[in-house]
Amino acid sequence: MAIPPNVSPAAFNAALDAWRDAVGPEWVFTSEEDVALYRDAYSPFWGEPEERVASAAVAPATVEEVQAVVRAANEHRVPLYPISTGRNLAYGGSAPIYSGSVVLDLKRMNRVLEVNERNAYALVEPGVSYFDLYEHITKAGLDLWIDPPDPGWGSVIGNALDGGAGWTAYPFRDHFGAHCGMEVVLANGEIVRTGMGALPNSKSWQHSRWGYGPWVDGLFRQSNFGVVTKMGFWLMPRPEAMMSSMATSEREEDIIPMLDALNLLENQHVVNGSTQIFQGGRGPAGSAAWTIQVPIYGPEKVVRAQMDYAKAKFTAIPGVKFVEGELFRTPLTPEQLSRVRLVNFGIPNLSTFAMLGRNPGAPDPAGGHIGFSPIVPRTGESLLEFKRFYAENLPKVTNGENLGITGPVYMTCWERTLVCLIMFPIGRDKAMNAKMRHAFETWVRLAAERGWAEYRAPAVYQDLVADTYSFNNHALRRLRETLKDAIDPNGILSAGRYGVWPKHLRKT
Amino acid sequence: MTSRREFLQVAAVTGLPVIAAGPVNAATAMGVWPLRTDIHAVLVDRRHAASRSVGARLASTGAQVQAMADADITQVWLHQIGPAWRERPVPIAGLTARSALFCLEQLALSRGLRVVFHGEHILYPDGRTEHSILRGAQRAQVSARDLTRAGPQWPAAIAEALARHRQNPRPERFGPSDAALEPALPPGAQLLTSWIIAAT
Repeated sequence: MAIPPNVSPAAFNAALDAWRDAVGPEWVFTSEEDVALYRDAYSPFWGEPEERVASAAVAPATVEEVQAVVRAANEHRVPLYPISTGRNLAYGGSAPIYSGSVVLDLKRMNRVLEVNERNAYALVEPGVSYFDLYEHITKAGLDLWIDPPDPGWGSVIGNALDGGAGWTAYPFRDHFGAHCGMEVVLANGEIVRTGMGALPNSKSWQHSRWGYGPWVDGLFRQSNFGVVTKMGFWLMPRPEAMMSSMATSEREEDIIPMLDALNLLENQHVVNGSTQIFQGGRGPAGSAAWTIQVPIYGPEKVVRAQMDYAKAKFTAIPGVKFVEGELFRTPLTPEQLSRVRLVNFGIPNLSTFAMLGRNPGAPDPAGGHIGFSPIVPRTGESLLEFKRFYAENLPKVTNGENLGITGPVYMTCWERTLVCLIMFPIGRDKAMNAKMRHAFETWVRLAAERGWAEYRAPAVYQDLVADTYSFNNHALRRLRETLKDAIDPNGILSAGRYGVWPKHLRKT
Repeated sequence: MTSRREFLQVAAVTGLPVIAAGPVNAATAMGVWPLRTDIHAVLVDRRHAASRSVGARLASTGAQVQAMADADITQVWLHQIGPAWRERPVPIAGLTARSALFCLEQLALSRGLRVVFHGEHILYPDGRTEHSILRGAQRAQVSARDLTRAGPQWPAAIAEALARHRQNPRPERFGPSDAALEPALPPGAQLLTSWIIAAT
């Protein structure tokens, strides 16, 4: 049995005994085989000393059990690493940031506590996956959509807390932005409810986000200040229709007015769907050829009118063509479902893995991946600058080798910005993984020099990325550390998550 | 709330509807078969003849055979395996792409099920097939040598091994299968993965 670092065997055994009492001995995992299930399958350090691994796991089923586990960990100074479903592959999966931590596995807390159709919200526990919520809503026949990410097996709460995004309409695809109220167990075992939930017998916990006084929900996003045990989410009423058209141009420089048009349409709330910006493939060989998807959700009459307005804006740009797409009335027919991208219609799926695995289009894939995804202002000039940045630096980053790095993919997860995704294949070849690590680390540093940084990072790179947010001698990090010391003075929760370490583990 | 005993209890086969994207070829069935199997559902990849053959043979044992169009398990998960596992942690098996096993294994872990049998079959362009059994060979009573000896009839031998699955009276612990990633293969070669996911 592994022992967490800086914890004596006696203290660890005392914590294990306390957890067995609290959750039942069958839900405390210490065998090598059980603990191995919490390894990160996509770790770029797989099988190397730097791989982040757990020492044990404990799986409570209720908030009271979470409290008991946290209190025992605090008493015996045992580091915990809470996970929801632990399927956050490419961002660390179930593996802790601080090697040797005990995984606090919340998968058994999998109740959909409430779905309210009239006010379009849900209240869930951390073990509820997008599949679970979709099935609950479908079975109940409710006229609501969820907004699943790709893939859809992850936790609704976990994805929101990690800063994930989906593929339907704004604001629902901003998963943390669409939340309303949370319940949190602090490191001392105390329960806090945020927003209107702080009112005993509150009748508006999932109705009103801000509550009264300073808003603290953001402290629990990408953080290690507490264990979120309940969270509310606003859901999209099933839209009557969805239509996705395409604006295309064959000139490189046209991306500048095209993105200006898209921004205007999005900021006017005319275009509300998640778009991707593709380059190449549609114009003459060698041309720049941009294609922007223009998806709109809403009542059919409104969608058609908004699409006419969007078409007018795009076609006012010389050289830009607008190809109207099919209008889908919801719910879709089985035939329609077989040829659309399901996440755009609120349906969770796992097709990503079929694409990442061996298939006719990828005869020799690594299977795993990590992503570098900096946030870039959404202007054509910025996009072209990133495109040049990528092309100029790729040989430097890879030492001229073809490592199978792909990108950039330009996505519009959030308003006013682009996510410029670069993908790195990860396998079991240690030498190749070392090259990927070098490439990833170099991209992070080069991008930061241009003023771009990631919104989210793989577990092993959360320190590296946090280092780039260094304005005023890392003032933001120091503020977070001040908060960490106050909220979790023994530093038992998720040490190192997003670059925030407890006092006894700080390097500086 | 589910107790650990219920969590781990393997139930008898239940009759959920088949949602196969296409029928398996019953004409490929041959040989003598177990009258019944504990396997609840069998997933096959209809792009591969060997996989279709395994499905056809196991269909006669009472298992529900799901023929997937590719490695995407979404529809099978939503309509068959997910609902079945919400009721009971029934064993399932398959001959599929590795990524299909990986997805099902990840989903199985939260139901207390593990990969208890894992074989790999590399199909070379010249018609040869190379076999390896990575887990569960003894209980399935099959070896890579048996499969090699079977020549082109190896899908029948794998189908028999899968059909023989019974709940192990002596609980075993298994770690992850490492189906997450894809091994390097020679040009033109393809990989099929045989597996059983069951309570341990």
